[in-house]
Amino acid sequence: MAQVTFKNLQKRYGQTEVVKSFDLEIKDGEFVVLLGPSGCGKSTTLRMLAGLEEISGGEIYIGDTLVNDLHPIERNIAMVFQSYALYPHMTVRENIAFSLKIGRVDKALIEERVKYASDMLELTPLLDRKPKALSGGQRQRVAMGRAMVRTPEVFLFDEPLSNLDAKLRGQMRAEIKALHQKLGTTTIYVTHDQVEAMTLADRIVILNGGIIEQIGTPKQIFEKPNNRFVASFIGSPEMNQLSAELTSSQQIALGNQSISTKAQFSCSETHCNFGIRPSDLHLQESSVDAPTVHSLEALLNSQELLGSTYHLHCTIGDDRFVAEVATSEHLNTKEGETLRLYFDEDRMHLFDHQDKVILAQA
Amino acid sequence: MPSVVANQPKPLEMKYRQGLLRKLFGAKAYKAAPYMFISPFFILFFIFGLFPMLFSIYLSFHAWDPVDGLGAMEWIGWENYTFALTDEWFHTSIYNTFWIAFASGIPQHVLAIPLAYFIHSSLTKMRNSVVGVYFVPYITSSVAIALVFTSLFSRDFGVINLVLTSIGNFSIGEFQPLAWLFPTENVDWQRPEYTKPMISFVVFWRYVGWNTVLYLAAMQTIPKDLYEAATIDGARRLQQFWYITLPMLKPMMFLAVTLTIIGNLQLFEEPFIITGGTGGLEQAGKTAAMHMYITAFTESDFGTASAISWILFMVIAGLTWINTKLLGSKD
Repeated sequence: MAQVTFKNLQKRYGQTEVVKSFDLEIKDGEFVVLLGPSGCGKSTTLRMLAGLEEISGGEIYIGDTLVNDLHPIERNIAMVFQSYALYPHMTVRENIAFSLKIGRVDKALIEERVKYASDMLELTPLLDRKPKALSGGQRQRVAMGRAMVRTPEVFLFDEPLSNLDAKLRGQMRAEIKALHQKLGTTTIYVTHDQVEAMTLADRIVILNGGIIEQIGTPKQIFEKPNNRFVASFIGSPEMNQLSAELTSSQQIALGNQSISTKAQFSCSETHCNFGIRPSDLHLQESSVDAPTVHSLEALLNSQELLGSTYHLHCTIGDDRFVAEVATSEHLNTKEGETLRLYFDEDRMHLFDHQDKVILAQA
Repeated sequence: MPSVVANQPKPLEMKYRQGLLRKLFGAKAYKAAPYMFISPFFILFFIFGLFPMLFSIYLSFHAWDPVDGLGAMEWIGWENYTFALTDEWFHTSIYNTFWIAFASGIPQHVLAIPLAYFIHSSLTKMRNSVVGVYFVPYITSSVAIALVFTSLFSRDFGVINLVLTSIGNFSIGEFQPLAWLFPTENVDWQRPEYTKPMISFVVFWRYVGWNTVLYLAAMQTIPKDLYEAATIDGARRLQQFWYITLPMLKPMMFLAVTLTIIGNLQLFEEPFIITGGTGGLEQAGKTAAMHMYITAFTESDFGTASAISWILFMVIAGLTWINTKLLGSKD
């Protein structure tokens, strides 16, 4: 087990910069998720760590060792690929044992390790099958078994669940989490799925266009996004963004309505964006359990019943937004009528004209 | 129910075009059209493919000289087969065929696979031109190939003799250190002991590019992440070739070896042209296919020639069956 350190890591393909100055320290045993839209450089970063991609600049350390010029095998990492990359002509047993066989490990020890991995992953009855005869979830487990037997210092996962259906994905997510808790190996996990990131990570690193947008625990990322990108990338339905004016340090104007905040905000320009998560909007004042409650009046355009919740599609001025309210809370407002939405001041977000968050001053 | 929106556009009246065939020939002929289109193939196949094949079975049980017309056919049972199988020249030709088939076939594959791996893994920009160069012999006319090789192997003026003798005659003072290995005088490549190696070399040279292309195509379908996974598992280039590439090539090996077996056992063009259609001195370069040809068209014994062709067919089928057992995949 080891910590992993990235120092000013860069990757260029010709003129195109894919990863720009990536700095990150991952603690021993930590589960870090690199999250971002496709093309954000998350897989490239992982592949540079694995040694499958050359490093254009900067340094990567595993433990105290600079690994920039080391062969993948010398880095003592194991990787689970999106396609699983199981060797199709080998049985499950041979797949799991392959790295040990290449490493000329004693046969009895190989046997023991394969047993250990297959017991843990419930693969024992499948050991003599070929990958073709396995289901998606079983293949995924073989890929994990193959990574496990070597007892690497770092586990790398490159979008390991994106080839599975939704139900299986949830199940495998739980298994990966359990595996990490049992083994305690430092893990770096790449995904574009925010649910995976939120549920698995100790810390999430959000990447966009080769730049780190924010690093933090899932809770921090969700509740205190640094900028509009993070705010809208995390959460489903995504955070509402309404254009607003900061008319004074305690006055926010939204269309012809205004909110007088308790906290103070300061910004060089008056134009800003007001952000609020759909689930933080409520129809009744009493359901907001907070000292400072504000409200906004909005026009209801349409509503969708999702079972336990309603999605209310509303407008204030020209801005459209969604409120997610509990079915029990729902009033019989009709489309085309106005309604009043209540929220907690601590739950709102303000972003300046450069999309950075404006923090409340205590 | 939502109320109907006013001013809804009327449904449009579409005027789609009718298919040309249906318009010209009507619905009935339209149904027959697919059969009409496919018929040229079947007509040609029946006349030039199926009929001769079936007729040759019939023929192989008859004595017949086509010059005397169809009426001259005479039923003789298995006599053609027994004659062919006891004929010494047929034995020689079968021996030659197998000799050349192995001597040219095995090196083809042994060389084509590493060559394809090299082209696949090491060349990027040059790849297509290199593949093209290796493929050229395959599409070159065999007459041109024979012409070039006979002049290369010419006794008095050939480049090969020139090179070999100049190495053999290399001397330091009186001493010729390489004379024990290389000839000091021009070699007569027409001599029977050289015929089969020469033919084998030409066949090898001609088809190695073809096999390289086959193996290269198969290698390109092997997913890249298998190699990446193997790299992370600690396999070096050679181990990756052994543990990933070779097993993944098995289906293509089966196909390529089958094609080689079928092709080499029917070998005709190269030995025919190189030996001037005679089979060479002492029949050293006469293959089974040549023997069949000579029996039919020189000796006008079509019955025996047909029998030979069916014996050859059985041999090829048998070898292909063995190949299926060895390389064909069970799953």
